[in-house]
Amino acid sequence: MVEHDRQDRFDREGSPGPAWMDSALALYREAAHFNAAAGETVPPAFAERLREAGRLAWAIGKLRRQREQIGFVPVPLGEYLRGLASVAAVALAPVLAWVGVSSTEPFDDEASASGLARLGEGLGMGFRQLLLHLRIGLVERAEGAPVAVLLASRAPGGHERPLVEECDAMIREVEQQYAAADLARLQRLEKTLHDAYAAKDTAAR
Amino acid sequence: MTPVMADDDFKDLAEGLAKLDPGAIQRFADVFGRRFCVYFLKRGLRPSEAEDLAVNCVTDIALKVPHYYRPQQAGGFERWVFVLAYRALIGWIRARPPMPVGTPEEIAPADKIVKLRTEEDSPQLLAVIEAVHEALQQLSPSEEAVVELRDLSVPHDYEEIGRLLGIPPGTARVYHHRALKQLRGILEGDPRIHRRLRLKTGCKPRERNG
Repeated sequence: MVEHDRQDRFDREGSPGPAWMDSALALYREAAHFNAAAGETVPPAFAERLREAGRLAWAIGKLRRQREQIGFVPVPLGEYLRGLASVAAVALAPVLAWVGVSSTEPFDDEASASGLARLGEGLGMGFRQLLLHLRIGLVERAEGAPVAVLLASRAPGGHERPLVEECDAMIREVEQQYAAADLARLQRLEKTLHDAYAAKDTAAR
Repeated sequence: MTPVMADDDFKDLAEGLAKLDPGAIQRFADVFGRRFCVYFLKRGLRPSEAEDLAVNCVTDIALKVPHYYRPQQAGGFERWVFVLAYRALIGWIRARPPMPVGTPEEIAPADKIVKLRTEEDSPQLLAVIEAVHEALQQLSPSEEAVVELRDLSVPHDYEEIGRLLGIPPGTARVYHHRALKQLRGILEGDPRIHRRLRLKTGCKPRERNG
């Protein structure tokens, strides 16, 4: 209450500065408060949570690096993530838990969209590529064959376009054969994921 | 008294994070995780909320360092981290369910945070902080001390300031008014403040001499 009394008294006395300057000083004050919070002790259980958060950041950072080196591979999202985790030698389960995504494939339920957007941001994977991996999973279930094999069968001599474009084009052809209900479900998934990415982007600005 | 922010001393830590050095990441988690939590608590979050948000910030901000932090940018690592944590706090407050009626004191600090400028992006917020920091350094020691006590900490009245600094309350008031007038002149001429002035009030900064 002492702080509130002081604030009240301060408010009554008023500030000789314009509102925009009060606002700028208030922001600086916040930064100074943050700075002053250094060195305080925390409970051991919370300190362990912080260490765990650090280990998680390291694991995601390694996955991201690996993804940047490997680039796009035409496999479903789960397979892609397991592959990255294996090559980067990190455990995938804590990463999936961090984004609140079930470890059960195919990761294409709309409820997972927010978590997937967070995962995509962490891995530096854009909306289009992440969605493409999800669509690959759906096509493989529909066609009963790996997309990599389907792609190879269409162009035995190699592709003229970049792999990601070639894959996208082929999948679009397959999706045109989807039943109306499946197509509508895919469109809902795309919109939900797009919105989740947009929300992450706004928050990150 | 809340200390005016010191110059950045986390250059090595930022470099280690950019290289994904496990030791640097753990140091970041240990040093800044505590700060996040303490700061969030002071801003009215419940202990469990403050801890959860602090843990999230450790992971999210550590991951942003290699891709967004530029060592040469103004303000240094510490302030860059603050801006991200500040934005995370605002997002958290906005996303959480409304507090029950009857708990105004608990949520008051958080509500005040949301009333601060929140529409600018991180580089803009960082630029405002840096502009204020540099402007404060141009004040005389007495004026800076009064501004610190009056505007950068729990607000003290002039009587308290006078007692703390060993000067009459009237003198403290004069110092304060003079300091704010000087700060206003400096900040109005600062192009980093220009953008938000234009956005908020349509004002334009004065021309700088030289």
